[in-house]
Amino acid sequence: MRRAIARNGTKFALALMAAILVGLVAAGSDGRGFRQAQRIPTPELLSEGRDASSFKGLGGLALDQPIPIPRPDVKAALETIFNRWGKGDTRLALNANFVNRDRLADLIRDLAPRDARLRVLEVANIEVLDQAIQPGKGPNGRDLLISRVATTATTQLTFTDRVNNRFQTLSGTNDYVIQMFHAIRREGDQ
Amino acid sequence: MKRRVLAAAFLGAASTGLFDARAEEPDMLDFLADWSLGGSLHLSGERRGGGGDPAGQIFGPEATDGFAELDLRANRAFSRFHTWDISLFASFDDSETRGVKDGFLLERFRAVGQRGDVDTPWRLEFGDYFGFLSERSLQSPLKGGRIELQPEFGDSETFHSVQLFGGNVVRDYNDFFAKEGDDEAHFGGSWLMERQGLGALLFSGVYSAVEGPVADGATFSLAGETGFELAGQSLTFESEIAWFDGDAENATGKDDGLALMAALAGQSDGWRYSGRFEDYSAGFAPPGSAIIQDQRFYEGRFGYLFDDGAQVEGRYQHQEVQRALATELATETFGVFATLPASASTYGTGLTLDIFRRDETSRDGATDRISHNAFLNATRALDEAWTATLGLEAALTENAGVLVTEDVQFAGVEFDATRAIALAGFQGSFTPGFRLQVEETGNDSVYGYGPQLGVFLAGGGHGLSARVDLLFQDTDAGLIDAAEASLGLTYDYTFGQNRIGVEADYFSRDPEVGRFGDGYRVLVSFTHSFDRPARTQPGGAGFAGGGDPFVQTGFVDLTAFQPGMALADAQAEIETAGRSALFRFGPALVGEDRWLREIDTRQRLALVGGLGRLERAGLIVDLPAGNGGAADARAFERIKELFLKTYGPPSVAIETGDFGPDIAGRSRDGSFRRVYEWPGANGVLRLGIPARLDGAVRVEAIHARTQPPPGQATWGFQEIR
Repeated sequence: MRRAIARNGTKFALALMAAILVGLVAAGSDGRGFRQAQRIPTPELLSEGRDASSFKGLGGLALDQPIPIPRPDVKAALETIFNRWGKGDTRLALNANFVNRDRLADLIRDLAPRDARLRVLEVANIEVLDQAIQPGKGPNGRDLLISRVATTATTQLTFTDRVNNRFQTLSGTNDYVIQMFHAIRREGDQ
Repeated sequence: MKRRVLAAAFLGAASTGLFDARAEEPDMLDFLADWSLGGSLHLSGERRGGGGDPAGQIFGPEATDGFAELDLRANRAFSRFHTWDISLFASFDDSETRGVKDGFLLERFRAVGQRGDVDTPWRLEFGDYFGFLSERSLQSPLKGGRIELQPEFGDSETFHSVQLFGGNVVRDYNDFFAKEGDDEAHFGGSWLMERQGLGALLFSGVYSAVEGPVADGATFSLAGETGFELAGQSLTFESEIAWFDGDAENATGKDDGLALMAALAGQSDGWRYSGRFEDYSAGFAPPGSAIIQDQRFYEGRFGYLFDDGAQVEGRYQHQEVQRALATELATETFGVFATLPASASTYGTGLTLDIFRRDETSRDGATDRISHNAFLNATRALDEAWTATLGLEAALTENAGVLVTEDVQFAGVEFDATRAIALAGFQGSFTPGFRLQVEETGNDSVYGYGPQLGVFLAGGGHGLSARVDLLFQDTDAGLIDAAEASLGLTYDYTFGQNRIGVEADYFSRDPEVGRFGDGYRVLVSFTHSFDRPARTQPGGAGFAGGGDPFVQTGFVDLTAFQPGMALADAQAEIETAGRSALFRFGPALVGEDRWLREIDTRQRLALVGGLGRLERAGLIVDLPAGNGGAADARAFERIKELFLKTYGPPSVAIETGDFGPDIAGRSRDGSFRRVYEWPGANGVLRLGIPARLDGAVRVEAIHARTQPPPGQATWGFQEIR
């Protein structure tokens, strides 16, 4: 079973793992609040056997070149996140390193109308900001690809405004940075 | 419409024409051959509309429009230490739904080059990058440029990274090059120092120029982090102090201010705890930061992580915002969050519990509210086919402020069950569900209920998902009852490098008083992806090759020998490096030398090829005793260490059985195996102890295009005895 990582011409299939977009991260493991070193690989680093990537935020090995993230996956990931908006598990849609995560999650759960629904109409402006790979950490021992993706999404919120007794539709276009997890299946894998 | 077709044709020609041209005129575009190229072209058309009450026509009035997107990527590795990545994302947008602007848009462009095999390693970025210094100074996507140097000063234990950058906050390059591109710009620099075991320190400064009511200004920050052990506790301390000096007064009448942050986090066995303090004065208003201005915040967290993955955490948070204004709002929150994975549960039920109480009080009395909220989610596999999920939520909000005085109570239940299905070669799931909720505001009640159904099927390149969601709302007199239906369907078919997608949405709303209204949208899209690897030809500059096999002293990098390169070139690389001459040994060229300086047993470098081209390059290292004893085990571990240090964690690692007597026999029957693999651009590097027909026990490392399955006992240079 060959496991070439994201190299030229390598055929691989990405399986979006929406179910684990984010998980609970216990106290004390928050990401750092200022920039991290992204070490440039040098012969010295290599001979010392040190990891050239120190992507603490994503936690994994660096890739030689980015793996493209399919557009429908970006849309699907946003839908998974927004389907939780206003629901009991709103908190799980926000990354543990999200600035003021709990305050935002508390507020949404407190104030969102109970019949509100947030739809993703379209995405644009997709860019993979950074990626890391965790060998063997995916389902069935597959490699797990973690990507931080920037996108602009047009969303639509519908709800019944009980104060004015009116059905409301609010649209917005905003920029988002999302963290996505993919299990990588390559040609020849079972 | 004509405009759209033209643009699509242009984008299509741009994407495919590039490659056709290359194929026909290799000389003219020869420089592209060393780049790996890839990308996709996406075309989408949408029809939407509706009828009846405009409020129900949520997708807008009747219209047909669409867009095209081109995503291009190029990558070149001059060597392992010198690479360039370029990407571009452009669109022709005639869609009302997508983005905010229409027309031809260059939305993203990014070029990143880096080089590490020079005195001062550097990284250059043009175009889009994420401008991040710290949460309190700058955290924003930028378009512009950034240069980073990682110089080594006398003390090589400390890592230095110096960055200079400048960029605008704009969504596309049309704005960047237009006058509007000056709306928000940030320029600055930072110096990061990191030292293993000691911590990190960052000095940074940024000047932000913003059009509009926000003041321009400079932000300076000093941030640090350190980890230490104290009384058996593993602790991390992080702190930042930042100063903002604005060019004009903000809403609070201040033009400068200070920000402080300190956080301590610790863990010991399963315990996790942390405390955090933030204080931002009224004048601290950096335009590019991610913070809430004019606030004080502190929190404490305490939790436990069990061995089986279960977690529980309690938190207390206190926040004061708009402290300089009469509307100052203080919020206190107590919360508990716990998860129990189904695998750790005695009853096979996975649980998530989220409870909090939040007190909000404003100084002017407008807001005085206490909210209580509890959520419980339980998931359980009922049998081999069904998995059920139950969600319970209850909330009570007590309002005693000037603006709102009515209390609000809420209770809701959601239940669904997912069944795995296999149907005519398709696999998927089927999820019926139901929700029931009641909300009471003062004396008014709203009951919401309705069924939901989700279906997912995939197979043979086809994917289908559908969702139906009905919501009936019954209310007391004075409020409007309504029935809402949402239907969503997506289908996609992938064939080769192409994908066809269809998305359809329908929504209807039928209020008891007023008119029925509905809306729909149907989206059809086509995506073509392309991928062309860089040329890998004799002497070519593929990623894993092109480098010097002896760049590390005392080591030979077998991946520098690319399968397919001329045998004579490979031979010359070894001989010009002043190494042993190679001699023909059957089908192989073999040279004896101390290729791994730390190892003192016999070592042979072998090149095996056919028709003048290299097929496999490898190293054969004899073990001191060759009987599987302790000396052999130690020697093997040392060789393995050398490879791990160079290539990092292997993607395949098989260690079966222990060193000991009859290691040769046990190698053949598979009860002793040592196989490690590292994948590369031009092949796979394998290290291990193969079973040999002649019964010899030795270590071999081979770089080849492909390797036999790791389960196969005999591999290696059988031809070299």
